[in-house]
Amino acid sequence: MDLSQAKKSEKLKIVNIKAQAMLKKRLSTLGVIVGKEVEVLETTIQKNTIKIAIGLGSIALRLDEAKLIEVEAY
Amino acid sequence: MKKIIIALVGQPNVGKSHLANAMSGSNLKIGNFAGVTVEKAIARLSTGEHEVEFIDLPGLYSLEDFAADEKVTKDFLLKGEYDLIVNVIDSTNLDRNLMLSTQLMELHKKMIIALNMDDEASKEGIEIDDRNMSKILGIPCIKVSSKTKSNIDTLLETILHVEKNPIQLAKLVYTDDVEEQLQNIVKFLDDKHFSLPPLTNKTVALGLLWQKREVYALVHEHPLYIELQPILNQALGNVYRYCECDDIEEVITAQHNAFISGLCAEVLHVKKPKYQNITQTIDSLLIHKLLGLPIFIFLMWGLFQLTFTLGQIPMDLIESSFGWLGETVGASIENEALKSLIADGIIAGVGSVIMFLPNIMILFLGIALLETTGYMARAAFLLDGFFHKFGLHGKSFIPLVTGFGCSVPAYMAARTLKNKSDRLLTMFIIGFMSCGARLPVYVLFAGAFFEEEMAGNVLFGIYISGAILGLIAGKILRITAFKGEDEPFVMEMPKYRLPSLKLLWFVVYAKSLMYIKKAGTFILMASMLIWFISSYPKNTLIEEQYTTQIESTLNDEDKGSLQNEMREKMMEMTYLGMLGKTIEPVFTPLGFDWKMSVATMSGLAAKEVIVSTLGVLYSLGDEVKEDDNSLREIIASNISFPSAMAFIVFVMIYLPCLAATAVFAKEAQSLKYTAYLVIFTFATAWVLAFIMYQLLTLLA
Repeated sequence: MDLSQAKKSEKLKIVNIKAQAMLKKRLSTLGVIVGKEVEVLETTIQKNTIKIAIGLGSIALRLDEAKLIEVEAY
Repeated sequence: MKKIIIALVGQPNVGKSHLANAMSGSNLKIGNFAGVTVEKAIARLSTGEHEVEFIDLPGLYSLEDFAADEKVTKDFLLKGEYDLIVNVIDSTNLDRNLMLSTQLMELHKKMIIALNMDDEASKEGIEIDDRNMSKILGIPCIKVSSKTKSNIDTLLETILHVEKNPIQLAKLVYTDDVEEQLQNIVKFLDDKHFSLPPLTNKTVALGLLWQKREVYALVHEHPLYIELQPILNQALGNVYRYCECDDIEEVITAQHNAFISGLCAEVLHVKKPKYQNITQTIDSLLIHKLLGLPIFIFLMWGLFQLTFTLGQIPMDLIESSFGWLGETVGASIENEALKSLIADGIIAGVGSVIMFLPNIMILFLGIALLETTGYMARAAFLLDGFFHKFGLHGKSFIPLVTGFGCSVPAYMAARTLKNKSDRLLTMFIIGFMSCGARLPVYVLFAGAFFEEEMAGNVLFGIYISGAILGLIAGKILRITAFKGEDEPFVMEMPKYRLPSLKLLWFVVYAKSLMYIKKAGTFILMASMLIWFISSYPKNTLIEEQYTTQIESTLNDEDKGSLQNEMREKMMEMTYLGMLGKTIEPVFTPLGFDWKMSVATMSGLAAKEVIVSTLGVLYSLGDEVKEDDNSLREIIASNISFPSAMAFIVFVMIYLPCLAATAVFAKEAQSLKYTAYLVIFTFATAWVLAFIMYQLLTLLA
């Protein structure tokens, strides 16, 4: 499953990132790396953007980007 | 005295400026980078025999990113002159911050790591073993807190110590396979007695293996390169095979990540597992599904209300003191022309601009608060979905909000958008966000035509409708001129932090000083120019004609109106009058008289000049009515409601000042787009002001 399908407060593990090189690098500089634990914290009303917890911080993503991040139950 | 230059580098939101401020006392200064127009802050500090200068570089997540704002920092680190790097790290987010640190270590410069926000980390149960970390990395790692000022002295001592002693390279360990390949290259270079000072052969080997352009450029000039190439090819092939990946960037990232994980396992101890922290609690309200947007709108509304109501208090005082100054100075000067220049030109012009200083200060304070507390990222998060529909990016919010302050930094802030069409589109829209310099025009007109209780709402309305128009324009431009793929939205949500009062004060103080300086120099010159071309040539014929007419009139009221008529007629014959009359036909459909037309044109120099021009023009023409000498009342009695509203609409949309346009041209790197901007803004402004005027005239 991918991150866009995740429910709020569900603890997940990143197993694959299917993004293009540039986006992949951007994600990695913000700590989104295969093997890390991730959790969806908040979503906007139409679920256009989501806030996720990663490492000790948190970042915001569009749902389009979340679809590229494959996760599994932790 | 020896001068030591320190480059402060770190990811965004790690408290670099705060740390610079804590180290240096209060001497933070904002200046421009030579060559590139990005603000760099310099703080100075004297410690007896040394003068330490901190260069606060723009924050960046990674050296390998290609956003324009990040390039400035990278360029400085590679080519700039500095003695050592102080890498500022947010202790509460060590692993992610270390990604930049590993890249900095590979620059092989003198370096110190400042583990900032130590106090916050302890509170969150995060323990970093700084001694062990220093040992593993081979460079000093010091826990500091810019808030509590703990260990600031130790950091300074370490800076002096590291600067004095020969360079100690940071120890970055790669996986065994990669180390082996590196050693092969180093061995080859050593055997051939190759050296490229000041770089060590290890640095050269690493630069070649990581395919760093700068290193290649240096080595490529050597004849040795022919022999080196096959060895390099083989090493690279091996590395790709070991790492099961054929993209060198990914290999580097993976190597760094592996090192960071290892390092964190050794030095980072999180006592309590992840818990509901304060940021998360605040976020559950501020970016709440349903409440988030209304709260955001309420906060913005509050800001504009405050701008008007709080700003009003000192404004009246400033206006009356300038009025008093004008009268007093005017009374003491004999020479008529000089008296008019000083009282009607300089004091009226500069005074009408200085009057708005309190409003400007509140507005900039508001923007600084948005930036420093971390709410800006939340606003981008909330608005991205909405913005996206209009072809804009959530991150566009940052330059757009900055645009409410001034378009110049806003155009620069658009650098955070990597995609060129996203960036250009945002830059086109920035003009719709009314800048601080337009605020005086709005405050003046809102105060003149609306009740005081309503004026704040009107102000908010003006800003909101400007923003909405901007969104519509964005959509139109996205469909027509700037097609293309969107940039992904990936953004850090920094922790909420209480900003340091000192830093806030510094920002507001610096901006206010800039505003006053502008009033004292640029606006002063413009006011003198406007005064001159609106006073000369003197038409003595009209003066004589009216003087005899006035003398023959017995009625006092007729005398007054004749005197007004004379001033009007005389001003129409001046250079400015002639100019105004020439361009008046263009603005007649909008309901502007020639004075308003002239003010619009002079506003191209700077938007504050609109008000000072109106101040000069109306104070020259209206001296007769002594009972209402405030500019606001003069405006209210001289300009009709539909004209005034059309004027606001025009000012809202037409071209930002020339300085901003020049920055636009530089940032867009295209004359074509600059020309588009000029045409686009003028055309839109004219059409919408026309509709406004005609509509209101019909209704009235």
